[in-house]
Amino acid sequence: MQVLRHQKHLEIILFQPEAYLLKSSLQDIVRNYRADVEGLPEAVKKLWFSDHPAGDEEDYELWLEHLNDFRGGNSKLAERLIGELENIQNWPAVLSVSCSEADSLLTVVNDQRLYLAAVHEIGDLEKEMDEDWGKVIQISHKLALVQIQFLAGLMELMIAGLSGLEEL
Amino acid sequence: MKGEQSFPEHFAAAVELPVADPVKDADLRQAFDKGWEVIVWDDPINLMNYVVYVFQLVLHFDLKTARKHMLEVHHKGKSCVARDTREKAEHLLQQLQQRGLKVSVQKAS
Repeated sequence: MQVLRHQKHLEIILFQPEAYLLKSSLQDIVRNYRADVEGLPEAVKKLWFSDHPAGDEEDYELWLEHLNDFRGGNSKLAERLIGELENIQNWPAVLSVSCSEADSLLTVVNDQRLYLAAVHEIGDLEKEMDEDWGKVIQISHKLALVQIQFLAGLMELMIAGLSGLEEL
Repeated sequence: MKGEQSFPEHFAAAVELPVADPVKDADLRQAFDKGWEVIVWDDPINLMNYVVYVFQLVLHFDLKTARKHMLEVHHKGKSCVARDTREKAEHLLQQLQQRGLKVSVQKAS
């Protein structure tokens, strides 16, 4: 995986397993964004919705509406990238995103990391990766750890690519 | 003052002067009170560089200031990143929270 900066765009270069992981993560997050709040796991609900600044019910509804709009915009970008990843003809795949899209993509990818950590009760990521890896029995838990780390790598590369741009 | 004209007394008496409303005054004071703090809390999942990136983007911190606050969050568990009116503090909270940071707003002690 590699991220290159070309003026106001980032090029994300992915090999097949990386492209598969990213597509799968984006599909998950789009599904989670669309889910009814009440249908989300309790830990995610708390993480994504409960620390709102609103005081009363009306404010809370406005807050939810704003969040849904924000995530709706991010979903559209995720869906576009899923479409591109499904139609890759030549490898490695190259995804091109503008700087403002890169900001949305960072939020999407980070939301998926937070979602996985909440669902799998991952508190101390570094400890689990370094010390507890052998003790982790559940495959779903291991897969979540791998996905969180992979997305972290993508985020680090994108942030490095974005740094120094005027938008920052 | 040179050129100033004084109003006749009967004219002044005819003008209805606003009466101070303690409730509205308190609301106004609160609206302009810049004593609301935006606190960012530590969490084990958000990446350090991502937190720095969000601080630069949302709070318009330079890199050095953004890193200083990120390290404060990391080592001390929290950092006060802004102090403003309640409305502006809540707007910042919203911007930071929608990017996945753990944030709260509190009245400065």
